[in-house]
Amino acid sequence: MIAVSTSRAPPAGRLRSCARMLAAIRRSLLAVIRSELIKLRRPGVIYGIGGATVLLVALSTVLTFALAKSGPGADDGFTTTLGLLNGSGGMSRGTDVAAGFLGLLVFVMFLVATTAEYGLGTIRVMATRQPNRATHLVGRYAALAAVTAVVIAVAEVVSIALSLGLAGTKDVSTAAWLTGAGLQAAGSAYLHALLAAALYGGLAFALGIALRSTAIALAVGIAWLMPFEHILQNSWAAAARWFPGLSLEAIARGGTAEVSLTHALAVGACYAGVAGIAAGWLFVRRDIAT
Amino acid sequence: MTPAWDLVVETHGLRKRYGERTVVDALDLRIPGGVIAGFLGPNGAGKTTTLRMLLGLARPSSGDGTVLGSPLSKPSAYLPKVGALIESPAFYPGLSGERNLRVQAALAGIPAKRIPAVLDRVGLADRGGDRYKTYSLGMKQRLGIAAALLGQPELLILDEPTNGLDPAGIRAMRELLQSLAADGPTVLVSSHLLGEVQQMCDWLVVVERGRCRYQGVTSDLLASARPELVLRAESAEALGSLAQVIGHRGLNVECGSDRVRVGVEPGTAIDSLAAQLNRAAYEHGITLVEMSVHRADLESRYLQLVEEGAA
Repeated sequence: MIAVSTSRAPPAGRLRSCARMLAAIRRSLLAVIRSELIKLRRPGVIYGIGGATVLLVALSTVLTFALAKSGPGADDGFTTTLGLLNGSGGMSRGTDVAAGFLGLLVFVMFLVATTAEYGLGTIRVMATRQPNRATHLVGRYAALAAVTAVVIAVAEVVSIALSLGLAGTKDVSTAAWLTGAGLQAAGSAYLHALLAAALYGGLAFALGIALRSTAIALAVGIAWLMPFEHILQNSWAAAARWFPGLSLEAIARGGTAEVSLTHALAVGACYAGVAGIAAGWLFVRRDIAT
Repeated sequence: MTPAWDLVVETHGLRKRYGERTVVDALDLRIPGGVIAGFLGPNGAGKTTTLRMLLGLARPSSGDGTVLGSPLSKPSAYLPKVGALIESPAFYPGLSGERNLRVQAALAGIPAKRIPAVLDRVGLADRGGDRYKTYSLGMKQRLGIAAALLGQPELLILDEPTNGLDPAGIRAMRELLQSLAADGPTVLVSSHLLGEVQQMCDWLVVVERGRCRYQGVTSDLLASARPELVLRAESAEALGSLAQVIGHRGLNVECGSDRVRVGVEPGTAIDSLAAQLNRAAYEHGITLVEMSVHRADLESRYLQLVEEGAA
């Protein structure tokens, strides 16, 4: 007879209850995501976000080609030269340039999606349907992030298609575009834009939960990210390294001459993390009184 | 289905403070299963705040309680069995009624096949595909109730479901609520329409300034009020003498400009008293042209309770 020692094995009951709890959390998260996607999958939202995305990326790509300077040029994240467009990264240059604007578009999308729930009073219905508010918050963020991934992908496809069409107008060679390096550059552009947008979304989510009013949250958010940070940057050179909006812009461009991608990612993630924890605490603890 | 007369809602010393202001003050609620319970109180009495605490939307400052046997501190344990329409119906205006219900059904893990049944139940089967923003106020309220019914609840909590409805809408809503209660769930409904509550509710909770002034069977509250015998004499000049005659018999009498009101003590046979007073008036040369019994309705009892509370 073989004796089997079970003294070190975790009790089977505890494992089963842990597994059941994880399965319940997974089910709840999927339910929140499914519910959010039903809301978002409506013509007004699809045409609104889709139209704004196509418009932004088309404008950025056309201007990138139209304003490209002659000469080889170094990639400082801002200036586009014909030399850069001829290189492997030329195909995704439009996406690089549009990424910051797309981030702001995603910021508005997350913010309005959050504050509208308070404005319509649907937040109280949602909170009674899904009493675990942390699950609710994570699920909603995941659903909006999934939509963001699609938005950025559409933007990149539009930008690449336009770039292929515009290349001839500036005598830009596309030989290096459809190579492994070109596809890698396109993949990096997508990843940078997505990371920046996801962090913009996190900040918008937190701002929306804290302020609950679309008008106030939009005014505060856009005013801070657009004029304030750029004005302060003029008088404080290190602003680009430490301010949230400027860090996210740097992520969107894959890093700039002033701020490396790694540094921008670390700063952006810190801001989004702190904002996420604060928003989570507020959302879970605060009474829903709208 | 909840066994009848088990308490589906029970609170002990429930209190909610916003800063220095106490909105709900040591509220001890008891709502038995299987009833339609009316939740009454003037504006600012703390009704909605109480309902919010029952629904896990607001955290009590102190006190505790249970809903469907689970503690208030664990709303996830009982909310799947509760349907609620709190304040005004809240939906996405750009989505159809049916799509709005799909959003809620998906979130709560309720099969979407329930949606046609609840739309039919509230009489919106043919308008479910229309956008919510095109609905009339009555239709919006009914969609709110359809949403509350999605999960086949054991407890329905409805906050002012007749708000803003026209008389026909109010009547339709009353019939709907009565038919819903007949299907099994306990219904807790707050309303300002006392006549509707009197017709509809078999259990009442009256709150004033966050405190409970009455809770119990509706008929008990009405029975606790003293009926009045109202007498009118042929000549208004005779009313003073009539009041004196009645007063000499040890009865509580109040003389108005055209009528005399006599308070009837509980247990008194009203017909017999009316006959005695008629004879006494006749003996003193006073001819009565009207005798009627005025029983207190919910409105007068409610106002009495609120005034007592305010005093």
